[in-house]
Amino acid sequence: MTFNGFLQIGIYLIVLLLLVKPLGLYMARVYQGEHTFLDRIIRPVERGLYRLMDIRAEDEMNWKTYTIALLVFSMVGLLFLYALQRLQGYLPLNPRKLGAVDPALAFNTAASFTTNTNWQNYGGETTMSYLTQMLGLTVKNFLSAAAGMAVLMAFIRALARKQTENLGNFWVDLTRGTLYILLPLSVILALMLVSQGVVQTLSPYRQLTLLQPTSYQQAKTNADGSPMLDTQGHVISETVTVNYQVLAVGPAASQVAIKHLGTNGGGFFNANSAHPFENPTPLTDFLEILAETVIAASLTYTYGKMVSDTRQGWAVLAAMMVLFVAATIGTYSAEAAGNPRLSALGVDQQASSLQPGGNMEGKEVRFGVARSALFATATTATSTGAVDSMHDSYTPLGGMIPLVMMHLGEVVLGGVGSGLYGMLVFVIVAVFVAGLMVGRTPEYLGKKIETFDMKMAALLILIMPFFVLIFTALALVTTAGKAGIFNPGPHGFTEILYAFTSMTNNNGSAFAGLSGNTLFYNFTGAVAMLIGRFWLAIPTLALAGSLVRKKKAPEGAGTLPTHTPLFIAWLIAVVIIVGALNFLPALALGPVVEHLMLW
Amino acid sequence: MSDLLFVIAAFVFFLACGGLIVLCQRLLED
Repeated sequence: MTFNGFLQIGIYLIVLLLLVKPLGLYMARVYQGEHTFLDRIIRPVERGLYRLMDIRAEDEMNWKTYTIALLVFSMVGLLFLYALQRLQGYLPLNPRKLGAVDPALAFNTAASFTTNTNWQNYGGETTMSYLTQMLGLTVKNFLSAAAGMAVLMAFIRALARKQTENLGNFWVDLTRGTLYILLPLSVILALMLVSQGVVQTLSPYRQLTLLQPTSYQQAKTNADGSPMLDTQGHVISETVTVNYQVLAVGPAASQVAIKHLGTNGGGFFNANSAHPFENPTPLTDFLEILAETVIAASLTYTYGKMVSDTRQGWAVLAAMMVLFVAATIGTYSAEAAGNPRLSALGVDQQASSLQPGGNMEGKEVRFGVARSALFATATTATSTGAVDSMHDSYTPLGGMIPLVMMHLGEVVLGGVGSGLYGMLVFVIVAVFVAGLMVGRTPEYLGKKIETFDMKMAALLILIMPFFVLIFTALALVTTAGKAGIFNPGPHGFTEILYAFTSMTNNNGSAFAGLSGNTLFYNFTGAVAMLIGRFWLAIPTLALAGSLVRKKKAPEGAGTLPTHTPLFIAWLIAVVIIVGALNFLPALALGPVVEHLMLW
Repeated sequence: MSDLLFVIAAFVFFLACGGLIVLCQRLLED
């Protein structure tokens, strides 16, 4: 590890924390319908949309109506995106004349982008037309992010209000989140990215003749896309020779901006943010990491503002940042240590002025180890899922830490909206357990935590690990599941565990060795993503429905303070203990064994 | 045919979500 590496991480953290209060304050004003400096431009558009949708902004919804609106909206969006992919061969803006996307892949992609996962079993430049990318995927990036933020707003109102059924209006929250927050930030970020060289064009791909033909090895695949294996289980490679290169281009900057801001993660190109046309410079890398964390971090301040106690927001942010910084340093440390097998062969893996050092397999030289580790941690902590390096090539511990970030439930910052409401559920659990320990009625922000609330909290904590482990087990006991593994042994196990962890947590990043574009993974993955999003959103809104009707008790001598360093430490402990109880056995079978075998 | 199956799968999932809403409401009323 180097001073330069820590400096890069440090500068990023400082800039992030400086943005939390101003952006958080702005978002609080947006969601409370207060005046903002963008009103003159956006308010007429907002009112026009309400007229078009026949919505009265002042009409509020109870938890059931809010939930049904979310589900209907999501279902219609999923079916629209599915249809767009299946019909793209007949539609305009398709210069490569790409045909219809395979039904299973289209279903997986539609579920993926509807749930803010953006898991991609395909390479964008060889599968999706410009129209599908823009009208389908990019639009979904905005709307799925705004939907997550809307659910958070309903939950915050449940804590802020008392003795009412009203949680706000889903359509208003969705519209305001998109128009006032995501769109303006995306425009700014897209322009910054274009200035650095991220492509933004509707021109067709460029075919260029190479100065000399080039040959490379690639894995042979079966008809279903899984890698062909020899009798010993090793992947069979073939030599491919080409004398031209097709440079894929397209309207990437506009998608990349919202990809990060909305913690979506779906790249325009297959290599995602490792591709030089998506992420050409260290500055774009810095901006992309910042973009994927800034809204989630700032929403903690928004939360504090809306419940009229900013200490609560700062406390939650502090807990998140402790875990985030620890994970970043852990990943950086593991990757900077390099591969011991290479050291044994006399390979120099020390950082110097001539090389980044450490484990550079799967990493881009323009980013190096520190920045790649920061990106990997940020993308898995926030449920973005974009990658600027290949997680499959990380050292066992270096790859384990991003996996653990997801195993914790995507609450270390987490997705826009979903991360904070996930963390607030942990707060409720922490308050409840603390209340049991000291023999007092558990209450949070004056609201008593009762049986129903704990039932919902328990559901919310258990649904994700249950389905991650069930789907992973299913893949491991079926031929179709095992066929997707690229690396044998514990690393192959980790590939599958990572895949279902990522999908169920709506992250979308992958250990790219897994061949996911098969009927098995497309279907089970789609189900995992849908469950991970909506079977968590529903109990969250039900919990909100319970909390909003309670009265608020004034703070007394026996009230457990939830903004102190002691509570922050307790909250961190609860998050880690729950994650460890659920996933330590699985981790022991994968990355831990691999680490012991390597070292 | 595959298209129909996947569309039905989507409907079935969202119907199941409706069932979860009903379950949560029953628990809330208890």
